[in-house]
Amino acid sequence: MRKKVNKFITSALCICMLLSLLAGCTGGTNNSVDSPDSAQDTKSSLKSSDLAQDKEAGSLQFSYLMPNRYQLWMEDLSYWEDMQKLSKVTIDLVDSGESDNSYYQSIDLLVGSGDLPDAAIVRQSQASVYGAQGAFKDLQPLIEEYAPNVKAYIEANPDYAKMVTSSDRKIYGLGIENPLYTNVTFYRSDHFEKADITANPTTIAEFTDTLRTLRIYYDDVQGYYPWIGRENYLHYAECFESNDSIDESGTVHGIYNGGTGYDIYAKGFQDMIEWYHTLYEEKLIDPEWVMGTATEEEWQTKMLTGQGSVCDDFFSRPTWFASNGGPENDPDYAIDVMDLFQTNSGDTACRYQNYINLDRYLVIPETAENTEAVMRFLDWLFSDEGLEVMHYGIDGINTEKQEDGTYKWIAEFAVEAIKPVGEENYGVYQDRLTFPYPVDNETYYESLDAKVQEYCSDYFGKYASYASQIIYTEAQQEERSNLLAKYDTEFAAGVLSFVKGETEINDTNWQAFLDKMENAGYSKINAIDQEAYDAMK
Amino acid sequence: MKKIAKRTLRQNVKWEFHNCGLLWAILLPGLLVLILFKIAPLFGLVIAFQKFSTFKGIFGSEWVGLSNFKQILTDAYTWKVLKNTIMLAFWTLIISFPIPVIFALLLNEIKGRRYKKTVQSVSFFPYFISVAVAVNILSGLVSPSNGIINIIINYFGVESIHFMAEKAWFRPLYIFLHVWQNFGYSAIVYISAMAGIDPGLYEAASIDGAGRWKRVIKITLPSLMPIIITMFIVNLGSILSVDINKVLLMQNPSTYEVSDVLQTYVYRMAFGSAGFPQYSLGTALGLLQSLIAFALVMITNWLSNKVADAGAF
Repeated sequence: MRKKVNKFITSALCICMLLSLLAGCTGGTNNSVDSPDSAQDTKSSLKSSDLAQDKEAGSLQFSYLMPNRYQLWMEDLSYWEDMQKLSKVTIDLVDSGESDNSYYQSIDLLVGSGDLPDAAIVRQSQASVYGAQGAFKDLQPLIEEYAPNVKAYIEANPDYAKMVTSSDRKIYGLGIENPLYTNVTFYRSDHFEKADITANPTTIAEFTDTLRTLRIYYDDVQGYYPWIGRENYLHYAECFESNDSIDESGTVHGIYNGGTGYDIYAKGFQDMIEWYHTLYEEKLIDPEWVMGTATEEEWQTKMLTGQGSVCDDFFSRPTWFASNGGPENDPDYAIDVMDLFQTNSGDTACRYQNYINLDRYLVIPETAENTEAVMRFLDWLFSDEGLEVMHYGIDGINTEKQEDGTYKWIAEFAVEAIKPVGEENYGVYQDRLTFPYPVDNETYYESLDAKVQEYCSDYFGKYASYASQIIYTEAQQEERSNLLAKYDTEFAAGVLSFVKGETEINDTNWQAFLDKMENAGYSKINAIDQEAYDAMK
Repeated sequence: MKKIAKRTLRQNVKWEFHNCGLLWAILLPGLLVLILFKIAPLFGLVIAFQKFSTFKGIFGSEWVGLSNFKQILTDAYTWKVLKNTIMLAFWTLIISFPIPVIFALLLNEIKGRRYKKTVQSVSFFPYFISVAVAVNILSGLVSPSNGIINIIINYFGVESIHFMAEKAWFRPLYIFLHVWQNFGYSAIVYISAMAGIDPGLYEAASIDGAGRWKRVIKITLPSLMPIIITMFIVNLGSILSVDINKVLLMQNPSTYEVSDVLQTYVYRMAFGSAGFPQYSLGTALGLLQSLIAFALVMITNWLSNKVADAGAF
C-alpha cells in the first residue's frame, strides 16, 4: 500500500514538473488572445485585439508601445486623458518594461515574434531596415487616406519629408521633432562672487583664468575642482572650431555626429587637447570625470555640496540644481547661466541639436489591426486643435488663454519639473510627449519657468542651431557601427593619454595618434558619412 | 548453457515501462530541459553563417557562409582584444584556481565545527552578490576621494591612487573581485571531496608519526587530485569567457588598453547604439570561442590522462 502511495506521489510530482516546464513553451500569436492563462497575460497586453473590451463600441482605439520611462511620463501628464477625449481616440499605452538600449533590443525580438501592438516607437534604423523587409506598413497611402493634416505638413516641410522618407521612397515611420535646445554653461554665482569674479568669461582663455581663480579661492575645500560634470568631458569643441561639420560645399568634416563630435584634423583640435591637459595638470577639472569613473550621482552631490562651481550640461539642469541646492540646503546657493565662449577666431560659437530624434520614430507594424485609429490620432496631433493642446495643454488647467491670444501658464515649471514619477503633472512638456507633431520652439520655451525662459530664448537664439542629419543605408550602418566599435575606444584612450600627461603632446606623438585613428577607421567612417550625405541631396 | 531469448524492441519498451517506469518518469523532466533548452538551441548556431534578421527568421535570412568569421579573424583589432582576453582569463585562472583548494585544505584543519561552518558560510556569501553591487563596493573601497584604501595610503603620506582609472590596476582588481566572489563557493566542491576521504588513512599516518602538514601533503592533496584535475579542465573550458558584465562595469577610457576584451568589442559591434543589431556576428564569435575552449578541454584532458592518469572523462 505504502509503495503504491509513494509511486502515486512520485508520478504526480513528475507530471507537475513536466507541466510547469512545458507551460513556458506554450503560446503562439493566435493563442494569446483568448487564453485566460496568467502566463500569457503579459504577452496579450501587447496585442492590439486585447484592448479593453469595455471601451465604447465603435470608438477608435489603438495600442502603443514605447520605452517604459516615456509611458510613465505620459500617464502622469494631467492632459493625457483630455487628449484622448478631444481626439476621440483611445490609446492603450503598452508597458514595455524597458528603457534606453534594452527597449530597442526588445523591439528586435518583438519584430521577430510578430507581437508588436498597433504602433510602436523604434529607432530610425529599425524603421528603415525592418520597414524595407516588410515588418512595418508604408504610411504614405495611409496618410493619403486618413491624415490630411500630416500630408500637408510633410508637403510644406521638405526637411521633415527628407528625414521620414526611405531610400525606396516609402514612409515607414514618422520621426519626432526635437525642440531646439543644447547644453548651457552654468555656475555657482555665489562662488563667483565670493572669489571676487566680477565678469563672466567670454573666451576659453578667460574661462581658464576664472577656473584658476576659483581653484585658489576654494583650495582648502576637500575634493574641490572648479569644473565638474558627467559623461563625456570633451566640451567646447565648437569654441576650438574642431567639432564635426558639413560645410557649404557639402563636405563632411570629422566623424559626423550632428555637430557634437570631433574633427581630429581641424586646426583647433590639438589646441583643445592641450587645453584639457592644462586643466588636468592644474586641477581645474574633476579628474574622476575626465577618467570616466565619476557617476551622475557623484557629480550632482559635488555640485550641491560646493565641491564644484561650473558645469556645462543639459539646459534644464540649472533649475534642478537651484531647486535642490538652496535655500534650505545652502542659503547662499545661487545658479546662473553664462554665455557661450567665442571661437578661437573670435566669432560667435554655435552648438547643435538634431532636428529629428533618431531614437523616436512611430511605426505601424504590418500586423496592426487598428491602423485607422493610429492615423486619425496622428492627424489630430497635426491639426490646429491638436497643436494647441500639444503646445499649451488644456485651457483652464495648464494654461489660461488671454484676451490678446497669448497664454498664461498656470502650473509652475520649477515645481512640476521635479515632481516624482507617479504624481500628476501639470507642466506642458512637449519633449516628453512621444508622438510626432510639429514642434514650436517659442511656445516650448514659454512653457518653461521664467528663469529658464530667460536664458533659453536668448541662449538658444544666439548659440544654437539644428544640425544637418544623415540617414544611412543598412550596409552603411553596419560598416559604420563595426568601425565605431574600435574607433571610439581608441579615440577615448588616445585623447585621455594626452590629457593625463601619459603621452607628451608633441609633433611625433600627435602624428602617431592620428595614424592610430586612421588605422581604427577614421577616414573610412568619414567616407561613409560623405557618401550617405551625398545620397540625401 | 541456457540461451537467453532475444527480446524485440516492443518487448524491451514494455519491460522498461513495467520495471523502470517510475525512474523514467523522474528522468523525463530533466531530459526535456536538456533537450529543449540545451540541445535544441544549438541549431540556432546556424545564424553565425547568415545575415540574420529577427523579422525574416532563420529560414528567411540571407546565407553568407563564413563571412562573419572572416570579418572577425581578419580584423587587426580582434587580435588586440583577443590578447587582452587571454591575459585576463589566464591570470584569473592561475591566481583564482588554487585559492579555493588552499582555503578548503586550511578549513579542513579547523577543529571547532561551529567555527568551521561559520567561516565556510561567510566565505560563500559574496557569490550571491550581484556583479553590479560587487563592483560598486570595490569602487567605494578604492575611491581616490573617500575610499578606505586611499585613506590608509594617505595616512602614510602617500598621494591617493586612482585604482579604477589606472590600467596597471585593472587586472589585479578584476582578479581580486573574482576571487572574493567565487573562492568560498568553489571551495564547496573540495570540502565535499575531503569528507569522502577515509579517516583510517589519517589515523594510520598519525600512528606512523606523520604531522598535520605531512598528512595534508601525503593524504588530503593526493585524494583531491582527481577532483582538482576535473575542476581545472572545466575551468579551462571557459578560459575565453571573461565576465563581460564585470568588465563593462569596471572599464573606462583610462583602462581600455587592457580592459577591452573580445566580448566587449563584439558587444559594441553587435549592439552598438549607433548601428543595427548584428546577432550573426555575436554568434560567430561565440561559436569560435566554444571551438577553442572545446579544443583546450580535449587537449588538457588527453594530457591529464596521459601524464597523471586522471582525466575528467
